[in-house]
Amino acid sequence: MNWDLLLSSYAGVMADPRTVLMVFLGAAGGVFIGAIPGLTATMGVALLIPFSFGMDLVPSVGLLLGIYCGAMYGGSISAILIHTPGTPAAAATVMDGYPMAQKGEAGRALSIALFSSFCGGIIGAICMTFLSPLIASAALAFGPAEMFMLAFFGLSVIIAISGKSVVKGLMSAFFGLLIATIGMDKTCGYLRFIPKGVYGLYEGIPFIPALIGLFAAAEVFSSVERIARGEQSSAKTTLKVNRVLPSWADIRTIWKNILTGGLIGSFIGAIPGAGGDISAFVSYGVAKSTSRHPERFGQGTPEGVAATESANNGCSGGAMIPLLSLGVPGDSVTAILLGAFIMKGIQPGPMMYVDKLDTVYAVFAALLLANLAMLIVGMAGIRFFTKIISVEKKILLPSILVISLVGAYAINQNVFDVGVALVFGLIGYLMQKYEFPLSPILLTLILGPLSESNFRRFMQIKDGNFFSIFTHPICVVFMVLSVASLVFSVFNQRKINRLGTESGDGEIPPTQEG
Amino acid sequence: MKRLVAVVLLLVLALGAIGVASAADYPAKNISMICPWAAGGGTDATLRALSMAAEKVLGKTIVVENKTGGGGLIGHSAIALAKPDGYTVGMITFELSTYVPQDTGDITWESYDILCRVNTDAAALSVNTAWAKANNVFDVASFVEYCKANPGTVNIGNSAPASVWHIGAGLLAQTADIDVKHIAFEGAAPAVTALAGGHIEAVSVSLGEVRSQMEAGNITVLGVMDTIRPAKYPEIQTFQEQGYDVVYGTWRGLALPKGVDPDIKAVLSDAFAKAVEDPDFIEFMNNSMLTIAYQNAEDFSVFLAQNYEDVSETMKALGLSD
Amino acid sequence: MKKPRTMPFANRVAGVFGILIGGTAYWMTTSFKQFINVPVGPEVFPQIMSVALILFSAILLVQSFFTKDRRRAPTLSLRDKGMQRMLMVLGIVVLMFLLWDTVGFLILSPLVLFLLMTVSGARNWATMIILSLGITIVVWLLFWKVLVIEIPLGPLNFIY
Repeated sequence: MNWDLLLSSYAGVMADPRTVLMVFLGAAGGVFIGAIPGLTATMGVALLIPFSFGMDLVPSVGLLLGIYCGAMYGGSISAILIHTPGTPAAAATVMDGYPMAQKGEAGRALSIALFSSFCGGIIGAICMTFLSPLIASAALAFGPAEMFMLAFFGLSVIIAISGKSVVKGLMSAFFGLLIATIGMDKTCGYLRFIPKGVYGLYEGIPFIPALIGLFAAAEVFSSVERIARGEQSSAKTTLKVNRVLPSWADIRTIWKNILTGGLIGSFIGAIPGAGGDISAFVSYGVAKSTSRHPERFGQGTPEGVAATESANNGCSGGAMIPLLSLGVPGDSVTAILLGAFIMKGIQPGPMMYVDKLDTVYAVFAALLLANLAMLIVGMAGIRFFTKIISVEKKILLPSILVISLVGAYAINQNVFDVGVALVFGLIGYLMQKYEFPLSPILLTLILGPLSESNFRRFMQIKDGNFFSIFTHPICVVFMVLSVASLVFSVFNQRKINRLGTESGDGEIPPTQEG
Repeated sequence: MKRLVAVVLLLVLALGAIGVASAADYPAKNISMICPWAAGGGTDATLRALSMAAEKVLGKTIVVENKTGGGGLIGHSAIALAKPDGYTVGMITFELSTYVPQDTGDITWESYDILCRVNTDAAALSVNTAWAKANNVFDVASFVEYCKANPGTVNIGNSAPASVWHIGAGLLAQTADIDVKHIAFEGAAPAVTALAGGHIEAVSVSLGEVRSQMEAGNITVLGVMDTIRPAKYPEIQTFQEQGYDVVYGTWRGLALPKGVDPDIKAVLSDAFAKAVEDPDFIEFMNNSMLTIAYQNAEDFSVFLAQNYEDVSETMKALGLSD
Repeated sequence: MKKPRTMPFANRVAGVFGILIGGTAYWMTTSFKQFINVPVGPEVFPQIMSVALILFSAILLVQSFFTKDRRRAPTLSLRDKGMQRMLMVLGIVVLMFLLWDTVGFLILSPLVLFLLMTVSGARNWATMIILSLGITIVVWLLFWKVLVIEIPLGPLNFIY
């Protein structure tokens, strides 16, 4: 470790006003893009790439990293306030963030999400700086077999996110896994369950429109119903926003979740092809299993929000590891970043740590700065964001619905996706009404294709010999983890059922799910 | 009655004048450019860089619309179905040649007014360096020899079933008469990562996709399916030089919906022909390891007809179409 | 007036639905094309998932006969005021979806917003009109100018 170079590179980035400005602009834009369902960090980064052509490497990378980190936090804003994850990575944040907001603790939830995001991001950046060579070699060890087992491990948290009835949770999950196979299969290119011509479903159910339907549209439908029946007040939600950072008492309960979440995020983020969405769910499962109050999860506990948000932001640091040290992009945003580096004549890869160590450290510094910018922008914005739900319901609900549908359109610029959002809105509405949890569908829509295609790829490479999977050490580790996770969650579920009625966590909002 | 005729005549003349004016004043407003692939990918990057260069010539803004999904079918259809007023242009890509053979869609290159070809990228055969050293594979011939000695064991990764690289690998297998397994990944990058990690033995994607791993020493490129050696890496031989007559790769071009006014088409043709020579665009393409391979509408149409034939044939051999 | 349905009854219906969905999916997979040289074909995963869905649906169905749960199930009756409102909202947005390309956002969105606000119970007409137009224009400008996404405007498409 070259400490002098590290410090001078850091100082160089922090002292360059252009870089600082770009990072802040990026973070502000990222928070905004992340908060609107349907707009993703990838879109933001791709839009700004042409503008970064004329800039030096560090400011332009700073701008892109600002968007990346900002959007990771931004996704939680809509997850907490309007029951719609703004980005897939914030999907798990809905489970506890929204119930908190329903209890009038929107400000508290947002500040916890922000603080956890910041800490997770810093943990990711630190992991990137100090553990990069170590983790990088592990990233290449992930082949189809390992990816399949990772996805399987991710699926093992289903019970933890199933809510009151495990049977209903599993029904949701298998329904999700089943519909995840709709469309062109990724191994043979065969069209499953749809006739030729339904192009909108060729690549599977479009994920973001489905997410918008299941959460935003379904929530609006059922809110309108409850308000008309007088079961829910149409008045504005009362708010207590005294602070923009969590209280000391809150930090003391959530620091463990933040630490584990950040580490889980950094590690999963470093695996090419796995990102914020998976790590947030895994972190949530771990937090619930290890909590002394698993029964509070899903009812609006700060621990749940902290676990998911620290994990998805830890990913941004983790994803930099294979990008810089191997030249391997882990997700679509880092793929664009890779393009940006190459445009500037820098080829990420092992040689970068030898020839261009100053650039590596400058990127690390820019990432730290991006997280700091996200924290400052977020703190400044919390009071403003929470104003959103202080709008009267009869004005707020229609606006959410229309803006969400525009978001569903924006992702592929295809009207078909608006229809998908409405169909899933109806499905989500009915499921929520009859107490089927929605989060398992989201998780399985993410992990179903990942597990299927990698399993089949693995079987093809090994000519159908499944048992050779036991010769892969990483797979065995994940198998053990999956079994442990399943056993833990069954054990936990028992405990929750026992405590069920005694839970002193206040009134359960009627819309809580998971 | 006379009056009525006069009015009608006037109207017709007026409308005609508008028509003439629109061709003469073209472009009078912003142009939208449909990209069938997502923001951030290679096609999107090429299109955005080209648009920036073309804006300088046309003097109007070009708005890139990423109409994505359906393996490119949604965007490709949107271009064909757009209003043929010259204000919608689209980028068409290699996948267009696969829709009818694979029976996933009904559009071919003949569904458009072809404008020009912009870029081609040759497929390359790359192997895992450690595996190659252990098995004494150092060029295409020794690779083929190994495959013949061990039929059905070598895994060649590609970016998707029926993708350009899958068909490229199929073409190689056909030409060299070898029995290999084609493993589809979700994009070229994951396939390259799997190759670098030694989970598969080879990939058939373009040089630009494997470059970083090649420079890192994890991957060795055995040859490119091109007519000339890559400019940046002249030590890499072509397949033809090594005795295998395989020239194959992906292409990107521009097309209009059918029925655009020939005058407007001429304006666009000129504009993009100039844009392709823009120094900023050339620099972008070079840095991104994308090869500029301009062809005018006529040559490109001949190329497309041939490409469609070749692709259909190879897809049949691969069992991708009936 | 029918007697109110209980939650176990609703679960029974849900179980039957699950079995039907799983069964249909399984039946559809039997006609999938068989691929040579592919150890796990395109039909395997959907088959496993549909069998699992059927299994857990059956468990829910069986459970519903042995539970002491006597909670009332949420209603789907069309006579229910809440349901009526919800269906109105659904109808309005489905109409918006159908007219998305032809009528266009600038005309459609203010109307839809206004109608949705009315259905949600808002009655302060002046505010509603201003908000419907305001939200529409802000969203449209934001997508167009900042995000460079052109939402279809139907007859007003010439604006772009």
